[in-house]
Amino acid sequence: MTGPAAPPLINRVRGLVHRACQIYGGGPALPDLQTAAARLDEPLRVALAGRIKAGKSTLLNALVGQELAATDAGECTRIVTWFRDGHTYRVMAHPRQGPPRQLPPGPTGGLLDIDLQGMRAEDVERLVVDWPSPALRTMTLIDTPGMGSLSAELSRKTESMLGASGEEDDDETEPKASEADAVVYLMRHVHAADVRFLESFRDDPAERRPINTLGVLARADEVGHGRPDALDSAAKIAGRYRDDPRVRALCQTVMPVAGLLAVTAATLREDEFRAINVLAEAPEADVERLLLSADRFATAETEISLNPGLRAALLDRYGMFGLRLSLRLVHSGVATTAGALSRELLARSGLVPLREALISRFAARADVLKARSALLATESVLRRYPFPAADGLRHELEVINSGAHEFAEVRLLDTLRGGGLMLTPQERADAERVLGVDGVEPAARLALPPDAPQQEIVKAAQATLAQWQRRAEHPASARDVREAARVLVRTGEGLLMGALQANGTPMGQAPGGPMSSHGGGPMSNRWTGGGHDRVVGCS
Amino acid sequence: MAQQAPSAAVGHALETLDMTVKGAKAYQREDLAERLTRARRLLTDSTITVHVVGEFKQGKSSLINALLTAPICPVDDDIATSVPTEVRYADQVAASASFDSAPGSGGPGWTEPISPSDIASYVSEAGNPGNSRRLKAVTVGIDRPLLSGGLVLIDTPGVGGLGSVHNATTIGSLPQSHAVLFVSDASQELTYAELRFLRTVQDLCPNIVMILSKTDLYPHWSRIRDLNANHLRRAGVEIDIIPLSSEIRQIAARSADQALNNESGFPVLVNRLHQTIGNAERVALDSTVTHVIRALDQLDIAIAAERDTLVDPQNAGRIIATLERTKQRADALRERSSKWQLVLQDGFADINSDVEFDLRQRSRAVLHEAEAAIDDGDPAKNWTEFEEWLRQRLAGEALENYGMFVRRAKEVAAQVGEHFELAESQIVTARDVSAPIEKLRDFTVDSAFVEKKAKGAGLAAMQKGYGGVLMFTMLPTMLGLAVPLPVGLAAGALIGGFGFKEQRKQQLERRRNEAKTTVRRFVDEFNIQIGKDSRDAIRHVQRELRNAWSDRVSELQRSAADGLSAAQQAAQSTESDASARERLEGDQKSMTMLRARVADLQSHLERAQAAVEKAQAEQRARDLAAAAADPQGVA
Repeated sequence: MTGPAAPPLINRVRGLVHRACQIYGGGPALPDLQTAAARLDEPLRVALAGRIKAGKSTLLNALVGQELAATDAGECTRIVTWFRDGHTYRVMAHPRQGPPRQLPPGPTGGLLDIDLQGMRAEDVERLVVDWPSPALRTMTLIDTPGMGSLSAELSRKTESMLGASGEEDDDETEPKASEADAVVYLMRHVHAADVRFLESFRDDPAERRPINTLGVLARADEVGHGRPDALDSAAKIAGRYRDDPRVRALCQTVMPVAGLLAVTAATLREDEFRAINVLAEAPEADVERLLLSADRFATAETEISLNPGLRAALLDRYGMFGLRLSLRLVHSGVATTAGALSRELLARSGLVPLREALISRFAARADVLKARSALLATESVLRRYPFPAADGLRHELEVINSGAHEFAEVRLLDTLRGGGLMLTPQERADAERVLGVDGVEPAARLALPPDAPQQEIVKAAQATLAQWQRRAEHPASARDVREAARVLVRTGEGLLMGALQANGTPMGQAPGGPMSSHGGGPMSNRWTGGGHDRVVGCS
Repeated sequence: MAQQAPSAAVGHALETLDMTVKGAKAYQREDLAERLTRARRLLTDSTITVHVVGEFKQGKSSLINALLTAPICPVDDDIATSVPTEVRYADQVAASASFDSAPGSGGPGWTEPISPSDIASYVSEAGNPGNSRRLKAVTVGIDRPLLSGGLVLIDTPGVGGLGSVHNATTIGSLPQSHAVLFVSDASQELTYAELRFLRTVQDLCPNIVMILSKTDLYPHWSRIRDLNANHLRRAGVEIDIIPLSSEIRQIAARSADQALNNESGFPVLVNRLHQTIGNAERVALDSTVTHVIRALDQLDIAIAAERDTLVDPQNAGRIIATLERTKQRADALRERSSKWQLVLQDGFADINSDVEFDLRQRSRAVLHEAEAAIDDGDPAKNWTEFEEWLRQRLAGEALENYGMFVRRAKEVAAQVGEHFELAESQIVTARDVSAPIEKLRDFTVDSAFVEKKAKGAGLAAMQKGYGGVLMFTMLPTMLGLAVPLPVGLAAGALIGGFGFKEQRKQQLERRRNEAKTTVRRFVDEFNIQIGKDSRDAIRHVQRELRNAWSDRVSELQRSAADGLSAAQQAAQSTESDASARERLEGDQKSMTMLRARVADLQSHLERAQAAVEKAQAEQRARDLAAAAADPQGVA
C-alpha cells in the first residue's frame, strides 16, 4: 500500500521471526516461534464470538455454505472448533494433555453427533475440522462457545482462546498471544455484557483494536417479532449501533445478518421448494392459520397435504420469518424455482455484504493482521526469555512496530474510532475512509467506484494529499492532530504514487502537483457523497 | 375510582371490625380503636402491585399490552422502555407523568397529566434520551375488569441494556410488590446474568412467576422451558414458568377467538393474577381477623376481671393477685431486657454488621476487577465505557446487598413477632383462672397463627404482626454518584501512539496509576455513601418495628391495668350490683357474638385456603399429565 522503498511488512516480520528462531534454536521458546512463523503462511484466522445463542454456529455454516457445525435450540457449542480448508473431511481433537488424535466421523457424517472417543468435552482444548471448501481457503474460521453461559467454564474457554485475559489466568503479566487474527462479534441487541467482552478482547492490552473486530447484528430475521419488515428493522438498528460511539470504539461496523436464512439458502433442497409450493397453492386462509404460531405450523391438523413431520423439519430450517418470506416470494412470482428462491433468500440474508466486508476489511489486510499477530508472539517470547543475543531482535521489533506505516495506519484508525482526536465529523469520516475502513483498495479509500479510471484516482489522491498536508502544517492544529495528519499524508503519498505508476505517468510530471490549485473544498464534498453505498455495492 | 364492590367476606370483616371499634370505645380504649381503624386500611386499600421485570427486548411491554388488550406501553423493534410505567384502573383512559425536581432546587418533584397519545414519547428511550426530562414514572389509567380489583401493573425498563442504570430504583421498590413477573423470551435459555438477577429479586419479593414469551416464534420453546426449569431448580429458585405469546393473544383479541386466546397461554397468567389478588385479600382478611381477636382478648381482660370478682367475691384476692402478676408481665415487656427487645436489638445489630461486611466484600471484589481491567487496557481510551461499567457493577452489587438486608430484616421481624406473641398470649389469657378450657382454646388459636407466621410468608406475616407496611427505602444516592475523571486523562493525552515505545509505556503506566487512584477513591466514596444509606435504612426499619411493637406493649399494659382496677373496684363495691352484672353480661354477649363472627371469617379463610391448595394440586397434576401425554408440550 505504501511506498515501494521498504520491503513489504510481512517479509520484514518473516525475517525477524526467522532470525528469532535461529537465536532461540533448541530452547524452550522455539515451538512458540515456529508456530508464529508457520502462522504467517497460513490463512487468516477469524473467530466467531458472542453471547450464547447469538447464532455463531449458524453463521459459520452460512459462511461455509454447509451444515458443518452443530446447531440446536439449547446451548450447543461446547468446544472451540477450528474449520480450515483441507483435502478431505477430517476431525482432529486436541486434548489439553496428550497428543492430538483423529476422530471417526459420526453416523451422519457431520459434527452433530461426533463421538469424542471417551474424552470429556472440558478436556478437549479444541477440535480442528478439515473440510475442502473454497470459503475456507482465504480464512480459517473458529467457532466458539458463547459468553454469558450458565456454565462459566465455557465462557472462559472462549475468552482464553481470544486472549482476553481471564482473571483466573495464573500468569497475568503475560497474556497469551491471541489465537485469532480477527473477530466477528455477533450480538442480538447490544447488551452490557457485549461491551464488556469487546473491551476485554484485545491481544496487546495497551492497544485496543476495533480494527480487527467486525460487529454482526445476528438473528436479524427475529427482530421485530419476525414481521415482514424484520430485516428493515434490523438494518435500522444496525445503523444505530454503527453510529453509537460506544460501539464504534469497539468494532469497525455493525451489519445485520439472518444466519438461518443464509444457511438455508445455501443448502436449499428441491423437496423443500416443493413443500413451499404446496403451501403457496393451498387456500390462503388455511395457510394463514397454520402460520399463526410455530406450534400450529408444526403440529396442527390441516387440509394441506404436508405431514406434521415434514412441516416441523421445514420450520427448523426456515424459521417463522423464513417461511413467511419464502411464501411471499413464491406468491409474487419472484421465486419460481428452487434456485431462484435460494438466490432471493441469500440476497435478503445480509450474508453477501458480510462476506464482502470480511474480504475487504480482513482478507485484504490479512498481511498486516497476521504480521501483527506474529510480532506479538515474538515480543512475548523476547520478554519471557530475555538474553543479550536477543537485544538486536528487540530493537528490530521496536523499529518495525513503530516504523511500519501499516501499523501507524491501523493505530490511527483505532484512535479515530475511539473518538480521540479533535476533528470535525466530516474530517473524521474522510480520514477513516482514506485509512481503509470501507476497503483497502485505492478506489475505495478515495471514495471512487471500483472501476474508476486511473486519471480520476490520480486526481482524488492529489486532493486527499493536499487536504491532509494543509492540516498537518496548519499552525492552529493541535499536536496530535498534526501527527495524525502526517500519517494520512503518507498514506496519500502512497496512493498517489501507486496511481501514477499504474497510470504510466512519469512521476515528475504529475499534473498539477500535490499543492496546486486542487483545493480540498469542492473535492472533498464530492468524495464524501454516497461513497459508502458505492463501496458496499461492489463485489 | 369505580372499583369492584368488596367481596362478601370483606364486607363481613368490615362490619365486625366496626363493631369491635365501638366496643373498644365503650371501654375507653382509644388505643385499640385506633389500631383497628388502621387495620381497616388493609381491607379498603386493595392496591395489588405486580412488577414486570427482565432483560431488555424480551417483550415486557408487549406482555402488558396483550394482557390488557390495549396498546398502552409503546413497543418498538429497537427502542426500549426507559422509565417505569404504572398501569392501573380508571373509568376512562388517562395518563400522567411524575418528574423529579431539578437537582439543587430541593423541591419535591411534581406530577402533571399528559395526553395518552403522548405516552410513547415520554417512556421510550427515543423520546427522552438519557432521561433529560428527569421523568420518574408514567401512570396510565384504563378501564379493564382485570384491574378493577385494585391490580396495578408496572412495566420496568429492562436490565442490561446500554445506559440503563436507573432501573436500580425500580427494583428497589420490589419489596412493596405483591408479585413479580420475570420475562425471558423463548429464543434461548436463561443466561448467567438473568439467573443472578432472579436470585436478587427472590430476596426482595418471593412471589415470582417466570414468563417464557414469544412462544409463537420459536418451535422449540418447550425444550427451552424444560432447560430453564432445570437451571432454576439447580439455582434453588423454585418458581413456575408460564409460556405465552403476546402476538397470538393480540390476534385472538382482534378476532374474539376464544380458542386462540387459550392457545396464547394468557388464561393461565390471568388465572395466576387472580390468585394473587385473591391471596392479597386473604392476607388482608387474615390480618384483620388477628387484630380483631387481639382487641377482643384485651377488652375481655377488664370485662372478665370485673365479672369474675362480682360473681365470686371470695376469690377476689386470688383474682387480683393474678391480675397483678399479669400487669407486671406486661410492664416487663417495656424493659429493654425483655425478650422481644433483645431479639430485635441483637437481630438488627447482626444485620448491621453483616450488611456492612457484605458491602465491603462486594466493593472490594469490584475494585479488584476494575484494577485488573485498568491493567489490561489504556484508561485514556476507554474511560467513558469503563466508568459506565464501574457504575453498573457497583449498582448491581449494592442491589444484591440490599436484597440481603431485606431478607434478613424480614426474618428478624418474623422472629420478634413470634416472641412478642408468645408474651402477649401469656398476658391476655392469664386471667382465665376459672376457665382453663377456654384458655386452652384461645391458646390453640394463637399458636396456629404463630405457626403460620413461622412458615414465613415474608411481608404478609409482618403486616399481620403489627398492621403496618415496612418501608424499605432504596439507597437513594446510588444514582447520583459520578466517577471523576482521573487527572491527566484529558482528550489531548489520547494520542501517545507516535513516540517511542518505552516512553509510551511510561505514559501508559502513569495513566493507569492515576486511573487506579481515582477508582479506589471512588469505591471508598461509594462505601461511605452507600454504607451510610444502608445504615440509615436499617435504623429506619428497626425503629419502625420497635415503635409498632411498643404501641402494642402500651395496649397490653393498659389492658392489664384496666383489668386490675376493674377487679379492685368490683371487690370494693359491697352491694351486689345487679345492674352492673346485667351490663357486663350484655357486653359479654356482644363479645361472644363478635367472636362467632370472627370464627365465621376464619372458617371462610380456611375453606378458601383449602380451595386454593386443591386448585394448585389439580393444576400440577394436569400439568404433569399433559407433559406425560404430549412430549411436545403443546398447551
